[in-house]
Amino acid sequence: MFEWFGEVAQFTYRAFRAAITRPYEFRELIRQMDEIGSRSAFLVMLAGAAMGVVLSLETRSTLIRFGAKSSLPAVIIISTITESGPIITGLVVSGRVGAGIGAALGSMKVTDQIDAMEASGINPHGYLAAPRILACILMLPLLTLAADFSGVFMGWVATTLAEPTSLALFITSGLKRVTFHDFIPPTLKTVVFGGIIGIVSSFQGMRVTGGTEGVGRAATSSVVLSSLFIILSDVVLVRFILEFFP
Amino acid sequence: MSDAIVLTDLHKAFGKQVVLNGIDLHVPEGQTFVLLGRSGTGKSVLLKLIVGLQKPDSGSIRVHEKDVTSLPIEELNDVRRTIGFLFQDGALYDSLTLGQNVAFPLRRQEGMNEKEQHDHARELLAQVGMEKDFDKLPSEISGGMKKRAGLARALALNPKILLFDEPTSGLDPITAHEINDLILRLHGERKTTAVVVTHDLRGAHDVADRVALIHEGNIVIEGKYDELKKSKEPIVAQFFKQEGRN
Repeated sequence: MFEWFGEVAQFTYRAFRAAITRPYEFRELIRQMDEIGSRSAFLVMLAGAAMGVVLSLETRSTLIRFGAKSSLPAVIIISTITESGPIITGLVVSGRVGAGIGAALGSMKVTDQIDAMEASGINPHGYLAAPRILACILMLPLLTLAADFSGVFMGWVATTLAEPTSLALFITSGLKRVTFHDFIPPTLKTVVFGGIIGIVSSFQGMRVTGGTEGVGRAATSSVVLSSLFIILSDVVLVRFILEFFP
Repeated sequence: MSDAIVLTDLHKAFGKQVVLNGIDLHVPEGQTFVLLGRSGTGKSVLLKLIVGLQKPDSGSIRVHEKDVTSLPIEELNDVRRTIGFLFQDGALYDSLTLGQNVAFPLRRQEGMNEKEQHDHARELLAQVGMEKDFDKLPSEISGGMKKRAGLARALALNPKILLFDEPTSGLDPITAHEINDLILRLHGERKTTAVVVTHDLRGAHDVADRVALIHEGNIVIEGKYDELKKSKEPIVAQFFKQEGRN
């Protein structure tokens, strides 16, 4: 296990070094941002919407029990933007994008495409890994905003179906107790989630051995490991945010 | 005549499996050197060692006087740009068209704009008889065409050395003959040094200036094709008898 962490650290160093070394792969970065960002947006918004509905249904009955029904908009908004939105986005993207990166790079590895790139003097860390990692890092906060938006919106829809409330009132009363400190750090922590997805999946893909079976293993392990590390890192990040942005 | 490639006492093992066991080899400038041997005897590994994709356990590999085993990555990449490598199945980048594949190594060429890169790629594809396939994806062409497109890509940087890994494997005899003709024609036009790894005797006969037979990690015989064919050495005679039947 220590060997694996050591190799990941080396890989991360090479990828980031390649990312800041000329020539820059802007075109590939844009392509990956489209692949990772735009094409995950619908899925992330759908997951966010489901989360908003569930939050509304679950929280409403609990708050009624404690006579705090008026806090429902604030509870939905705060729990969406501080925790549910970021973690749901991280897990959904790790499933869709992590598997994709692991399988794509893995199949390039077993068909000698990565060797061919290296043999022509082009650094595969710079062309293949760095744009994918950077795209994940850049797109995760934006996707989190999309998940937050659809979560809050569908939270309002579920609430208003139970008890009609205007969207303006829902948002106003919910945001009364929300500050930028509640919003910015949890959204930015998804940069770490993005980094985890990009690094773990690219690493797992580019070290594939054992033909097509190996590609399947890389895709699976990319999803499993990045999801696991997202959840574990969230523990640390939440503690960090509570400490420095109370 | 100076040597383009010099291998000295080269050893390589994967775990307990010894692949190369003290190989000494000189490839003179401008010659086509064919390395024969049964599958799994380390022929492809030898090519990957020459281009620095793998490291030997011991021994030295000099390409145009530079020891590729000890060069820093930037200098190794400079050496790699003087070598064209045709991989066994072409190793074409499957997300790029053939034109983009051939233009890919030119991306690092200073003083060449995108249009010039594309024009050069078109020219190279024309040299291998595939100009009309410029916009096709690798998934849309046959095995023989993949090898030809791979060869066009290997020629992109105008290399001084060409490495061919099983250029005719998996091809029907007519296509295999076409590929051998192409290798011969390009060698005649460009006067490059070539190392061809194969077990195709007819191909070896057609293209080789010199031939060596590798067996159990060692070169058992080296000479002209006809000398090897007449050899009474049991391993050599058996190889020619077996492969001659195929």
